[in-house]
Amino acid sequence: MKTVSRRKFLKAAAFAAGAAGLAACATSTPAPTEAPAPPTEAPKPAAPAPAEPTKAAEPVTLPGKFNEAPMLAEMVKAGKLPPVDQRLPENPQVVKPLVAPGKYGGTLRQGIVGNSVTWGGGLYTFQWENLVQWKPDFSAPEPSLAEKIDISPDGREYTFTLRKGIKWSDGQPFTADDIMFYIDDVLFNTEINPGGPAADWLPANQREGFRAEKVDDYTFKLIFPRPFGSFLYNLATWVGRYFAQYPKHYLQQFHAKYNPEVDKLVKQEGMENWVQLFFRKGPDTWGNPDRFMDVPEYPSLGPWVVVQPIGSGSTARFVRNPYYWKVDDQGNQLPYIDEVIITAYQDPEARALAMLNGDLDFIKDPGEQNRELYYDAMNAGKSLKIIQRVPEGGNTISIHFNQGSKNPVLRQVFQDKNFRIGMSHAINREELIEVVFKGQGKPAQVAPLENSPLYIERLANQYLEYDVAKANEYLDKVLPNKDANGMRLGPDGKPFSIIWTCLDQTYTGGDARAWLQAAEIMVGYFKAVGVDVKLDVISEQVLNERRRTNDVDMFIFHGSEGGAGVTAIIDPRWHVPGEYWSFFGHGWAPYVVPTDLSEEEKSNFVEPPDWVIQHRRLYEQATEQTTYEAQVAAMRKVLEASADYFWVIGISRPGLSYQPMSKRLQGLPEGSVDGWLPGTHKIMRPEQWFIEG
Amino acid sequence: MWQFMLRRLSYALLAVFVISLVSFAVIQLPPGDYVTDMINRVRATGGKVDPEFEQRMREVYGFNQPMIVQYAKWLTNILTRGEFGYSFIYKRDAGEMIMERLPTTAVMVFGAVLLTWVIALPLGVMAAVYKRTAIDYSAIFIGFVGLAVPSFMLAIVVLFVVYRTFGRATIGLFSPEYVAAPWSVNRLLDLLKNMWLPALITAVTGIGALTQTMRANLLDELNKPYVNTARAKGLPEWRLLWKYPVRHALNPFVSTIGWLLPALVAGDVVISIVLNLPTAGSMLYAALLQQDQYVAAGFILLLSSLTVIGTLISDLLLALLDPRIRLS
Repeated sequence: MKTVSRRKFLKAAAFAAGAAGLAACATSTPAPTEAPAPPTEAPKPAAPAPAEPTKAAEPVTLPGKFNEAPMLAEMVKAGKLPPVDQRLPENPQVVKPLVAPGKYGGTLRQGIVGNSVTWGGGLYTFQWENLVQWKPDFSAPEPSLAEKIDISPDGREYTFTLRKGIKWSDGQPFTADDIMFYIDDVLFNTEINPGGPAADWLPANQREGFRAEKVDDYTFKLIFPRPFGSFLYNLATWVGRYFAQYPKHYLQQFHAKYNPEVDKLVKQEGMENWVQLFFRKGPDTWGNPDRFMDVPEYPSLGPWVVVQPIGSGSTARFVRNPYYWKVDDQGNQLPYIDEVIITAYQDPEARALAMLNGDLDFIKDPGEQNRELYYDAMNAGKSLKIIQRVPEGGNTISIHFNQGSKNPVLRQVFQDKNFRIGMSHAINREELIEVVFKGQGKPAQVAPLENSPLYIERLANQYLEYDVAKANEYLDKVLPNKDANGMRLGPDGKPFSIIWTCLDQTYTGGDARAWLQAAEIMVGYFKAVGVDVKLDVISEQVLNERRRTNDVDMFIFHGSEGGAGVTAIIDPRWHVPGEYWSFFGHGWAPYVVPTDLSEEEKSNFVEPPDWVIQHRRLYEQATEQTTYEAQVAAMRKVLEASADYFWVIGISRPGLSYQPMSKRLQGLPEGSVDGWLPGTHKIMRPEQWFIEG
Repeated sequence: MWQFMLRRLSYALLAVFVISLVSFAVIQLPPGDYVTDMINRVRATGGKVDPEFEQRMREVYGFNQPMIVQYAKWLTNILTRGEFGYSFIYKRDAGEMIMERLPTTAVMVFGAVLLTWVIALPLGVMAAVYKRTAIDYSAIFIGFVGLAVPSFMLAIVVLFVVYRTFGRATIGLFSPEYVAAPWSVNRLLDLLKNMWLPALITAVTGIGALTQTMRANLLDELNKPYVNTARAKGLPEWRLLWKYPVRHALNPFVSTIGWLLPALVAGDVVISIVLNLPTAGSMLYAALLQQDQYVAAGFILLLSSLTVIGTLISDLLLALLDPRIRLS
């Protein structure tokens, strides 16, 4: 095996990234002269989201004639399928190749961990078709299923014009009726949703008075009671997919309003009522995209449709949707790739091995701990290549002290900003970056990225230095008394101790392993300044129990979301209390936002001071602004305040994320934005990926 | 004899019933249910789920009903319609899924048992015959190492070595071209080709204990008068050994066959996760993690029932052979 120093190599890669002008990585490190050539072209910086959103993409003149995949051409010849121009809409969406024009054919072999194709990565490969989508540079939403969006000047009325002639994968037209079915017959149906319309694109304060109106077959209006300037950002993220998930012609057979005979079906399926049947046959959760991975007859708008669900085996097979409504700029119907095989692994390491074996072409979330493994394998001449991406997230880790703790001593201490400042200075971030994040990234607090219009220098860089003396100085203002061992005593004179709640490895959403590793190291830092912290590692289920009784005093989580562009407006979880993961203000939550807690449960929570609620309102105002400038200005106010309050402690800006893939997979651009909000790999447009050789 | 059989049978039925109740209750012990898990995943993706909706889903799935009601429905469906319930993860009948996983599991388990026996029995016999010699001590050493090294660790090490040596390591039970293929002779051959490694790793753990049991049993037998008699009559040593004492020493193995299956399936969980084997173990594990309660309960019920049936059969066989058991 060829021996290239892995450390040298990583350094070089990191430097290449920094040199690319990516502010997040632009440290003052001089160029290591002995650095070997970087593995890939340096990524381009992520665009800062400057443009006014919703402007249509620049028009592309298509050649008069459309082309299709050879496998579909054969079916057309055999008379099994209408010709391509009858399958495509009048004005198909044009996807400009992000790297090079592709070619038809081949199989994409994707590996997932766990048995959910959806959450393992399929959601982004097969099902992220929204009315509007992110531009490839993540700068703003652009029209997608809708070809035109008109917004009334007061920001309350959104008029969507769908592309005429888009068809579901079974050949039936996708029209405004499908949208109306979703909104009127599902969302606002009191039998399906007795508690009222529950959808995360429709904020609680917008529900009362919201309505949808059909204008004609391809036009509909969404009318909000209050201005809702940030609506299109929302739609471009995953919550927008609901509008493409309710094929009325298929689902109406399970709906009492449309099928008077529905009770027969209910009996036949052994259900108790039609609502149960509807959830079992249709979107059985709140628009759960699992359906599209599991039920072959469920019509889809995605580029590939399931033919063999994962079932009891460990593989699922998807083939191209002959009615897919996007073309490249040469008029070739997308997708390029014929079929996708998904293989499920129970263990991330088994999947990594399969990737190294060359059994797979693509995986989502390769894992920070395997970074060196993949680079080593690539250097050793394995059939692998790696592209680098720019994480959307503002930080790697966020540390929360629940300022609404039900323990009065902790509450008093946590609410004192000096305590949080002291704890922040006690952390040796450089060491954490070296050990936990393999030297990738730089110290930072949780904040939007440098190239975002919402970047606030103070929010990102305050209280970062590792300085034990300074930490003690601040902590002495809050917890001046110590016991014989130098450990601090609480204001009540008793030993001061915090239970630090951490998620275990079964957490479904991210790299809990890295957090735990970091937390274990940080316990030592805190001890060095006399603060006793004990780790309590629990599963997500247990966390949810404790959440209801307000039993989480200190918490560790990722610091991602809301980093790039203006996305902090749609995900303000680190800067505004009342969000689901805002554990810093968890004890206040039921007083800040509507809640489902019983009065008895609510008694475990604490009423916040008035300024906390005012801060929340300030944020809600930002979402109502109708112009981009006003949104940015209003949100900057929220973040300035967040910098004053210093809610959460961050560790570091992430370094570039890396994406290993087989050499035969082509079409994935370097430097795209990586994160949930851009749809992990959906922003790289999987429909225009292709297989070479 | 008939009375005895009837009694044992009714005990067995009672045991299965209690097991079904316990397995169903155990699944419900951890906080939360499938809806919790589903909504967690939505939240992990940044989705904001309305609390009212969560409540609604619980009603739809019937999780808001008391445990005993859910249990009664579940059992009735199994008894009257052979339906094991619904897999929330796969949106399919849980029973079907379990049945589809059982063949590969059975092949794996029997392969592992076979390997264990083929290695452990001769090793045990050798250790007993040559007791307190280098052979005996090496057998003990090998056995204890096998017992002490966790099988998943062994699996990882073996994978690593194979990957380093050959440049690729097999993950899963089938080569890529056969993964999704229907059952055929070629697919079976492919399965056998890929199976030896996981089967061997599973077997290694069992070898230590089995070797020691065999050795101890055989040592007991070797001192008995009939052995001396046979030897005195001039029977060749090895023929004598295999014909009488080894057979007798085997008795306890036969009577514990019933315990073998669940033990192996349980032991196979971690290995099948590491090696990505589509067996019952990994599915049971995933079902438990994601609170796919009907799949998990169905698996546990089925495996436990197999144990009960296995024990019942060995009991009845022993009773036939040995009147003392029948009468006590």
